Amino acid sequence: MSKHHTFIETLEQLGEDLREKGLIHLTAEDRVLEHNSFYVQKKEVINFGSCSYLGLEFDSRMKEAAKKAIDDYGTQFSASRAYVSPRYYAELEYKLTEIFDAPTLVAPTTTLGHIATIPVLIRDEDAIILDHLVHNSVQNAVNLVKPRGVHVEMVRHNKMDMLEDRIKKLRQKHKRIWYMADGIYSMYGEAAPIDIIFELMDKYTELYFYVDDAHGMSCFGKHGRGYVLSKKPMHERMLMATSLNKAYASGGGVLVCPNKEMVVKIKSCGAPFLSSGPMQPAALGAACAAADIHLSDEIYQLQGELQENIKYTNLMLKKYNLPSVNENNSPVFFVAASLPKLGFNIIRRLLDEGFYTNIGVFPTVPMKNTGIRFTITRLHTFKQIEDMITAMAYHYSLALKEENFTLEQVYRAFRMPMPEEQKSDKVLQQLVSLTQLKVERFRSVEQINKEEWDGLLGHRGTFNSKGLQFLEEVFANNIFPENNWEFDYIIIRDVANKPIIATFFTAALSKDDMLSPGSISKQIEERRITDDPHYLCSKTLFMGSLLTEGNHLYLDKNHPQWKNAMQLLLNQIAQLAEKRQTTVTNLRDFDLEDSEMDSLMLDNGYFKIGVPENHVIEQLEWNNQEEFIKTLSARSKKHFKQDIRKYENKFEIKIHAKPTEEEVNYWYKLYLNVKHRNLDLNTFTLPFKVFQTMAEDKDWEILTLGIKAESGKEEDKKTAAVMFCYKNEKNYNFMLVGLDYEFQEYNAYRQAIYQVILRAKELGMEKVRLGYSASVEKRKFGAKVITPIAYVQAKDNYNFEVLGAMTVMKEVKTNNAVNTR
Amino acid sequence: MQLTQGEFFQFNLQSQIQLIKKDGIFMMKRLVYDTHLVKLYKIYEFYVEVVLKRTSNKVVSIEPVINGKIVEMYDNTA
Repeated sequence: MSKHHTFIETLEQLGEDLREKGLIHLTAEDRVLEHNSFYVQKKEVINFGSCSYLGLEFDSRMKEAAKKAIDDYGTQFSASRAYVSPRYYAELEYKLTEIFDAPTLVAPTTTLGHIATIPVLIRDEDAIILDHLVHNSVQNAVNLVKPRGVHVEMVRHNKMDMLEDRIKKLRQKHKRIWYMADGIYSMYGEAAPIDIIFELMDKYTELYFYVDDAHGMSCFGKHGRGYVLSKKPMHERMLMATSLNKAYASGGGVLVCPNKEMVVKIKSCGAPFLSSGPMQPAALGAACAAADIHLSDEIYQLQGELQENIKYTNLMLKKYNLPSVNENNSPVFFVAASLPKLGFNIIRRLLDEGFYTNIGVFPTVPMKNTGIRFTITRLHTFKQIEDMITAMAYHYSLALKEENFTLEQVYRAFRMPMPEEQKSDKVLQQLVSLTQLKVERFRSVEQINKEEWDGLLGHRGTFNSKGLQFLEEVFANNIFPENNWEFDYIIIRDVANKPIIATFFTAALSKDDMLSPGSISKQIEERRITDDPHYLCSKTLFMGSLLTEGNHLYLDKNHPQWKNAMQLLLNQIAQLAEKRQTTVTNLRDFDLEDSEMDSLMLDNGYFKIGVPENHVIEQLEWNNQEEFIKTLSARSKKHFKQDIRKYENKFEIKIHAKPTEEEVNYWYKLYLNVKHRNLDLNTFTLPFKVFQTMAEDKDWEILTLGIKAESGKEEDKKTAAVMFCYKNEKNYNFMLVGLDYEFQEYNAYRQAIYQVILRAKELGMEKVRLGYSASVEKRKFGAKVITPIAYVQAKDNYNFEVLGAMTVMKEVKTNNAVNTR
Repeated sequence: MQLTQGEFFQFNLQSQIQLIKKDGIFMMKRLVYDTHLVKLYKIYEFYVEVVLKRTSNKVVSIEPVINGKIVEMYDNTA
């Protein structure tokens, strides 16, 4: 399952969930719309989702101008602007140039404006730095230049020190560095630090600024020219895109350019100007009328009235103690809810009360930063505003109780300090006692009854009691932080002490590009070498560990309280994440198709991602090679004869009971050979201590494939492959491999897999687990492919978006790659 | 939700009128010369005087009541 597929699947599921709850894809049912309310689901609701901040959409002058334009030009003047434009365009662009005091070009939408401009503006040798929260339409346009090899990266939202640091680095290679940001951000409503950005432009002549000020348009500045230009005049190294669809209340987008040449260039070369349709006369007529309002003093009165409503809203949010994410003078507000299910609950309740608001949910915000996004327009009355906020405050507390969540958890998820007077919520503790489930937490597997643990989870792989003791010993007291893991074990029991859930967690530093394409990891590894060894690394709370595989969760789904137990486990995980100070939680490996679990996880702010395929051989009921071959497909039989049997006599298999330190050193080098070659599953290199400890642990077996020397002398013999395997009662687990690539011609890796299978058979095992990756090779031996998924939650999605923004230079296909595991 | 006097006077005149209409309680009124009508309102935990021009019946200003004895200035029969 590809990452893209899981992303779409998560969106689809979210969409389905929201549709079922009647929160999205709604229809305004009014025959005639007159003010700031509409009918939805046969109920009148006050509209707190409109971006027409100045309420100009009902202005009679604009309506009349739209009608007149239709009378004059019909419903559409259907021709590409490259050929001919209706006269309204010229009139509008003339007026807009006066509004912005800079040359302008009108595009059918702001999104198409970005698509027209960015590929024309950006040269192959330029670098682009995206603000983490820059509007999706800008990011999509940037995707168009990535295939040209343009360097694209991302900085944390509004972090000017980070931006400056990157400018300093990039200016050594790039003559033009574009910082792309929004003027007013569409979700939280916060503004870009324009003064600092301009200071940086003055300081670094390489810095260019591309800004989307759609939500600032009309609401701020002289003639309503927007937030950005209310702070500073147009800069010669700046291009601004803005919208006529929001407070301007007509249609289209505007590109505000530093000079006329730029306008001509975009108009001549920008794809949407060459081949897309123009704006309709009605929208153009309305836009011309809106321009007249903007060029008159009336605009300041409208702006003033909007500001009064914004001021009142800020005051009410404070008075009602709602966790508002951002207080400023923009008309966009966001009240934190954290969990999607809590956000959905509140939005639904508000709709039932007659208030239409928006849900701010993944992917526009991180999954655990869901909230109630609402907008304020000039048309709202104070009464409407207070009524809505009163209802929100009332239903917020009811929804918290219903979803078994606390306000403290909400503040924590948004990293906001919680007001002292609100720290009294004990809902969670009450829930625990109500469900009568008992949670047991341990720091070491030695504190848990071995028989019970092994009975629940011991047969699943390498995480039986002894296997976990090994991990605890190895991943402690190491020099590098990535090699020190913290272990936590959780067992949840019912009143009769029967376990419903048992699992373990490790908190460890991990690479965020672990599952990214190799070409992305290659770029990141270069920065880890030059800048910061822990660049794009996150302390992650894993269900299981980075050195175990399979389903790590014992869950008794036949128990009537299993869902309560899961909810309790998720609460415990949230606490653990706080305690261990992890920023990402990764719960793995779950079944691909489990809609019940998907829904539970989504409600709790987890999204689903694909993880590498796992391989297991379950058929070991054969007695010799011929019988084994018979179990294979026709194609695999051929492969076996050509690639395995042919070279079998070249190798000498050896099982090492008491290896020397010299041998372990050599094997470690072979392991590093494989590790350094493969970035497709990009993990930290395991420390030598892992291999030393394995060598002394009788539950681990180390097998080597020696190449027989032509001289026949023992000392001339060389090791082609080393296999590190963990055995438990019933399973043989092929965990790590090391290879000497000098012997590739003998298919040493394939031979290694075969010899592992033979060894498992010899030991009377029921299954052989072959681990992740190299799927094609493993399937040739009849391995069953398990396609698991993981549920992931990130405190903020910055690192993941940085990865998403990076240019995939050359896709490296991973299926055939030999991995260390 | 109640606003303090300081918060109330952060708003412009039109907004103050809106707040008074929403949350104010009319108490008394008085004439100032023949030109202006002054209305006393209790809003939240304080009092304000709304000054209207008689000819146009438009509010020209809203003033805080800082003197507790101001009630004595009103002739409720006016």
